[in-house]
This record gives sequence, structure tokens and C-alpha cells, in this order.
Amino acid sequence: MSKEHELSEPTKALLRAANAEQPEALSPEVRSRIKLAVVAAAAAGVGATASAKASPLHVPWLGLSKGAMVAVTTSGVVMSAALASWALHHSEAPEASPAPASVVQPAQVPQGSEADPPVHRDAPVASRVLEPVRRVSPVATKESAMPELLQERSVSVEEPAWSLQDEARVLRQVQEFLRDQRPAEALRLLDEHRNVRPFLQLRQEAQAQRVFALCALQFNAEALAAAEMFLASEPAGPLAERVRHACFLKNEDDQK
Amino acid sequence: MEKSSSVPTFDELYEAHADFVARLARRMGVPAGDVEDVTQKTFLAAYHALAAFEGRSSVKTWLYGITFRVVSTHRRSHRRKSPSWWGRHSDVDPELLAANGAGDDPHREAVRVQANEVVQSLLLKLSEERRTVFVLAELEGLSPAEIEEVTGLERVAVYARLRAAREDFEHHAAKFLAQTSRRFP
Repeated sequence: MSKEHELSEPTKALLRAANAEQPEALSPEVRSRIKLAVVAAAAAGVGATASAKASPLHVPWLGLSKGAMVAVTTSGVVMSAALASWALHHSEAPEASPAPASVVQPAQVPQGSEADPPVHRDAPVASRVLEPVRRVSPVATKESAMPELLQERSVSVEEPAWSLQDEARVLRQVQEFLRDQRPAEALRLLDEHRNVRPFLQLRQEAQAQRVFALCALQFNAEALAAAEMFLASEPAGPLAERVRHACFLKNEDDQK
Repeated sequence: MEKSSSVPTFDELYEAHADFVARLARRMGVPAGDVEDVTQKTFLAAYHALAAFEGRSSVKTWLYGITFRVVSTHRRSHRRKSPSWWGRHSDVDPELLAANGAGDDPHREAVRVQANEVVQSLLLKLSEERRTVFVLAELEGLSPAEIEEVTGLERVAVYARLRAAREDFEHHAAKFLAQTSRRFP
């Protein structure tokens, strides 16, 4: 670069002064928030590429003790989605003992052994959602017809911390189920975890994954309600865009 | 080239470079209110790309490239929504900035903060293309070869833009310094 295009000394001094001993550009709170959001988005599959699986951010599955209890509040659509998931699970495994509030570790999830339940697309959504419940065997129904999902649970103080990495790991598993066209298993895994230990740090991402699973199952009313719930608290951002496009919602920009 | 044995984990990458990415985004003209979003997108892209990082360039140069592309995409996206929006904001988001004034020498820190604000305002007077090359060369200290790698520009274009950017910045800086009679040590 020729001399004539170099900066003058006063301008260089200005740049040196601006560049001197840069302090932290992000406050600790923002720094933590960004990292959390990145891990959450990665776990939810936002921006995923073929190399995502090989990402070095592999976190160990810490494992949660069986019977882990947390307070669960269920109502409305969320409840029916949970029931759907519960019903799907129990309809495929009627011999299962009354379900303890346990966390299914990824390795325990049946791989490809469970077909999505038959649904009648013309039937009302509510009946489609609840239909598998009626197919639960009498024994199972007697023991667990009022699923524990309906009950509030108490928190055990001995529980190990449910870390961000734990939540990310579960969501990654959910994402893999969805990618493998196994939405029922994805929904079931989401609900099993939620009922045992709700997502805290990645709650929004879990809600988005629920929308995707419900869409894939064509539980449209459930999906719409879950999507609206998600968008009410998270109207913008990459996940919101994906939720809007999930199965029937149009991007506001597209409507203009 | 063999894959570098010093490829960082995501945690290491984030801890070492989060502030750098945020600062670079700001200097590239990202409004203060969008810096968090751009930093997040940059590290999300880095998260997914890290497994394929082969160490052909330094981590920092690699991250420059990702930041450059994310900022460009972010800029295009906002330009579509509001063509006059980009580059108008020179606000400072107090939450984004760590406690300034820290340090042993308050006067020196005040000079740095003021110089930063001046430089930021002058950068916004440059076109986006020139601003990016200028920031990479003059503030981040990248060589023309590294800028070529980061931006994907031909070497001759890097030189041309850098020359034009220096002329522009010099013009605006000289004007500011003359008007304010301000001198920086």
C-alpha cells in the first residue's frame, strides 16, 4: 500500500486510543444469555448442518434418579398434548407397569420399534388425540387410567441438578426422533421429561419441538394452540420463524 | 493440511472470543440493540461449523469470516424490512456494555471510551463495504491476505476498498478533529 494512502498520525492516534485495552464488550449477564441461547438453539436444531452431529459440544448424560419428582402444573392444551403422548406410549405398551415418574434415558428409548398410532384424519382432533387411551388394556387403565400427569408432584431435595446440558441432550434426542420421522416418540420423550422435570432453561425450545411433533402427527388443533402459546412468549427469533412455518402458520412477512 | 490439534471446543471458543465477536459486529455497523442477536447467530454458526474446522487458518480468522457472513446476512434481512434502518443507530445499549470505567486509570479509560465513540460514529459514515475492510485492517490488524480469506474478495478488490476506506475515514476524522480541536495521545 503506497504511502499516500496511509492514515495521518492524528487519525492513527484516534484509532490506537479506541483500540487500547479493550474491556469486555458484553456484560456477564448478556454473555451468559447468549451462550445459553446458542446451546438451546443448537439443541433445537436451529442452524443445524450435516456436521452438527459431530460438534464438539457433546455433553455427558448425567442421568436422573428414577422417581424424580417436580411440581408439574398441567392444564388445557398442554394437558391434552401430554395425554396424547402418554396415551400413545401406553397404547403401544399396555403391559407396562404403572408408569413411575422416571426419565427415559436416550438409550432406553425404543429405536424404530414403535409405529406412529393410526389416526383418522377426518376425525375431530380431540378424539384423535384421545383415541389411543381407549385402547389401553383394562389392567393398565385400572392402575394408571388417571395418569400421574394430572397430579401435582412434590420436589425431592435430593435431586441432582437438572443442568442446561441435560436439557440440551434431551432436546437433541427429540430432534433426532423428529428427523427420523418418529414424531410420536419425540412427543413422548418431551412429555416424559416434562412430567418428571420440566425444562427450565430450554423451555421455549422444548415448546417449539412440541409444536413440530404435534404438526408431524397432524394434531393440528393441538399444534396450533401450542404454537400460539409459544409465539405469545417468543414472537421473534429463529425458533419463532420455524414455529410459524411448522405446518400451517404463515410468516407475517409472507402475508404482506 | 492436517487438522490442527488445537481446535478448540465450543466452550473454549465462546469464552475466548465472545467479546471479540460482539465488538467486531458493533464496528461493522450492527446497531447496539442487535449485537446480542448477531453474536448469538455467529456462535450458532460456529457451533455447527466447528467440527469441520481444519485449522487452515487461525481460529480468529475463521471466526472473522463467520462474523462477516452473519453480519452481511443480518444487514440484508433488516434492509428488506426497513431500508433506511441499517446504520442509523449509534445508540449504546448499556446492558451490552460491561462496566466501563473499570481499570486503574479513569482518565485513560475515559479517553478510550470517547475515542471508541468517535471511531464508531466515523465508521458509520463509510459505506458498508469500505467499513468492513477498514475495520478488519485498521482496527483488527488483519493483513490483506487475511481480509481476502475472510471476505472472499479478490486481493485487488481488498486493496481498492481499503484505499478508498482510508481516504474516507481520513477525511471524516480530519474534519472531526479540526472541528473539535481534539487530539488523542
